[in-house]
Amino acid sequence: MKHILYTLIMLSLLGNCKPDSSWLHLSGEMEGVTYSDFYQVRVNGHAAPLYYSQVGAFVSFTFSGNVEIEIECEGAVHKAEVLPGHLDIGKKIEGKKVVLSLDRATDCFVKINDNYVYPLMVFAHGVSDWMVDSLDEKVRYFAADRVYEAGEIHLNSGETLFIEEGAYVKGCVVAEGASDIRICGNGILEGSMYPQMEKPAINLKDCRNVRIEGLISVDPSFRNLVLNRCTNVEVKDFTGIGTRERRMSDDGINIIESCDVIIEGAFINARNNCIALQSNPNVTRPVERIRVRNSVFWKGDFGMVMEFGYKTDDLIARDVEYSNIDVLHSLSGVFGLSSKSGKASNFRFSNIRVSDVRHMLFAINQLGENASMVNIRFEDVTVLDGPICFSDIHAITEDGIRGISFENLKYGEKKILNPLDAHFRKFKGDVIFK
Amino acid sequence: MTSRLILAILLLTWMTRVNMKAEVFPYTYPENVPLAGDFKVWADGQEILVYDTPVGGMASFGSTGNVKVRIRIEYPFKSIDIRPKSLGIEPEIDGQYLSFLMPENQKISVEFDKHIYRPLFVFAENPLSEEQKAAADIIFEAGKKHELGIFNVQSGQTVLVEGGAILAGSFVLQDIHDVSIIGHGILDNRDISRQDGNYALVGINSRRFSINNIHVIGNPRWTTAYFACDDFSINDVRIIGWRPSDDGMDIVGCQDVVIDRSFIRSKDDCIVVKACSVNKYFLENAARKNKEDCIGCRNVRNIKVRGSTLWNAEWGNAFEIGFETRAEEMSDISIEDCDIIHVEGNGGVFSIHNGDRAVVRNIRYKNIRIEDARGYLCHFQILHSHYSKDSERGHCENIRLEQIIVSEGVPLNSIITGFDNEHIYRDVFFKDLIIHGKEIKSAFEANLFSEFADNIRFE
Repeated sequence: MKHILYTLIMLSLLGNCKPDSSWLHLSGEMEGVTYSDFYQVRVNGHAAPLYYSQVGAFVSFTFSGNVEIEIECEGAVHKAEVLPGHLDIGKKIEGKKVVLSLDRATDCFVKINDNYVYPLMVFAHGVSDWMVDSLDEKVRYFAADRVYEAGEIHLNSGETLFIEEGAYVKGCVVAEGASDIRICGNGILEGSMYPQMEKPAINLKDCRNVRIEGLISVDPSFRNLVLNRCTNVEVKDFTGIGTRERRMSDDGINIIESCDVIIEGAFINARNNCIALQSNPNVTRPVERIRVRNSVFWKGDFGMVMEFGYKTDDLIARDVEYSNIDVLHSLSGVFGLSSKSGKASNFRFSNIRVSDVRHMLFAINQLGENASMVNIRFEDVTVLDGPICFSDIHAITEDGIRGISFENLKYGEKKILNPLDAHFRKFKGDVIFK
Repeated sequence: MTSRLILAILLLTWMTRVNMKAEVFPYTYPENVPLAGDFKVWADGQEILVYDTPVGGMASFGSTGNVKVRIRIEYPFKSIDIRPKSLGIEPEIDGQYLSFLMPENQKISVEFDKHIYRPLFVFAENPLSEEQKAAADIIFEAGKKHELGIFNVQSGQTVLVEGGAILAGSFVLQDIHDVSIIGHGILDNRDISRQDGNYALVGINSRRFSINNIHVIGNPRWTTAYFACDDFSINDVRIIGWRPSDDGMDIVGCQDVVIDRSFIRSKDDCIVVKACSVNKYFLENAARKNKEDCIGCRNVRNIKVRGSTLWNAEWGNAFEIGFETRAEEMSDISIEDCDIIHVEGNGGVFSIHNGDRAVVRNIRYKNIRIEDARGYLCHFQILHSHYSKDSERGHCENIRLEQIIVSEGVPLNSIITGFDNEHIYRDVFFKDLIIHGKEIKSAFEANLFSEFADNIRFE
């Protein structure tokens, strides 16, 4: 508690106090952190450190009241999109600048002049009382405005890892067989120092009663967050930022044989899958009771945004719901349900808005006789813009794909009621449109 | 008066060429070839068989001059795209029929209602001369199916695959010289499993040969590949692929190569320039075990691609250099006067992935027209990839892109990223880059993200 009070005081001192008593905390640039000069960003007139990642630059700060974010580019700005669009964030374009006005905590992408290869991400946090005591021996505390060469951080049962907004931690987090663990804070966890495909940013195995709140994972050498055979996990406001290297599997969140998982307010910018349901080589338990909601996904080259496909041999996945999701960009696919021997049932995708998807929308493929996709419901899926993408539904046995329903599927304003209008390339299975 | 007379003579000559010399020669196919039931095609009134593939129908016919093509499609449609659009073909639509004048020796994709997974490919093909036919040592006759297996072509031979012949298997040009493969037959390997699959046509350590006219369909692996071959040309070859890793043409450790007037629709890369070994599956399948494995790890020089039309589907890129660059130098590669009608996936229209030690230099892309591409315009990287074997990284220099026109489709971004301060992209020039009608004069305007790159210029 003491530290929180100290932080609040520092916020008041460091911030630019406006007449309406708004205040903010912006970290300064720190040695050992890579920053981007792709944009110049000022928040309430203060130069903001622009963190580097391979898939976009980002700013992160905490504020209350109102802030004005000024983004300066190398050339004239003709078009600026603040995404998701329904956030309805005020913006104005002035020559080479875009100015955003925020009056509430917001995570958003800023896509300028159709630049999807290096967007700006804004993480404007509100003040949170994390209820973390830095003196508690069960708390691993990484305070703001410092860079930590932490290496592997092992969490045991009952422990809390706190990375404060403004802290920059180089390393990764591991827990195995632990229960009642908590990872929180709006700080940054960077994993680029590890060899490729070696260490996920957060790797939890056989854990129970896990809470992850906040955190910005950037440049992991492997995946951002792996939940492997975990039970009762709550992930709230987690940010995963991937990489561009070819060897990378920079998935956002991998749910491997885990159950009772709630993901709320995730913000993923990955080259590969955003959310992937998977099995281990010798599957022992299903993926079930998964809820993903109120989340924002931006995906680069590979995989699918919401994936049940690769590494699902013999996996049973059931009772999975995605709701209120914004898919802002994907150079590959969005909804993936394709398996050689996995069984997916009782999936519901509802209230999904899709923008700028370049390749594939639905890929539902029974790739082996033992695989099945049953009772998969798509409700209120709207493709807002982007080119025409194809889709596949392909069963190889009579009952391999059944109970697939599209209710209020829209491409723009047009309601889709048949596979031809939905640009299905393959269409074989028990499917209805309504 | 004189000028009018000359004009009249020229007009008469042109009309004679257009109208009097136009002639159609349909091919005779064997029974039980796959037929596309959703299209019917006539060329100057003669019905043309529409050969089916999972990614569209294919109507090929011999012809001279410009001929009138008429198409009936069995389902209703509202819009038509005939690509490449640079040919300027404007169809007349009459209910379920459309008709247009097909230019001589051209290859087009007719697409209905943007359903790009079910186009009709129409190929008008110049017939062989009697002299060309008479030169053949080996003939695969029209109207028959031929099981090639692994067919080794010998030095000095001319192989004629007649239009209407259907072949399955592989042509192998190994340690040979002075060979021609001619004729408009179809090498269709769709029924060969990936496990049993091979290159449909492969050259190894050979020189002075040409591959002409053939259609290659549904190959389960790299469709055509050339390793350590010199002084050869590929002319008017048509490739339609839809299977994984079905690269259209792999030019590996080769020198003095011309690829001309070809058409490629492939799931993976369309045209690739590499320096690497012959693939393991070929070594196993063709009993090449006693040969040196890394025969394609050799400098690449003087590769010319021109006048071709490319459709890159889900994987890979349209023009790729890499990922395997296991040579000292890969240089003087030019791509000119080509149409890119689709790049469906996340790949690049132009890609260089320098994944090994080579210096890649003097690369020129000129007069390229891009229609529907969805990934990247340029995807240039120096990287350690999962294909890399060399421990050291190379670099890339002097890359020119001139007269590049992106005429339609979604916005395209570009990436140029070196590996580190020592392994960079140097001297990349863009001249006359036009995207959606706008002349691009800076990296910012091009949405080009670069790292470890020096002297990227726009003129």
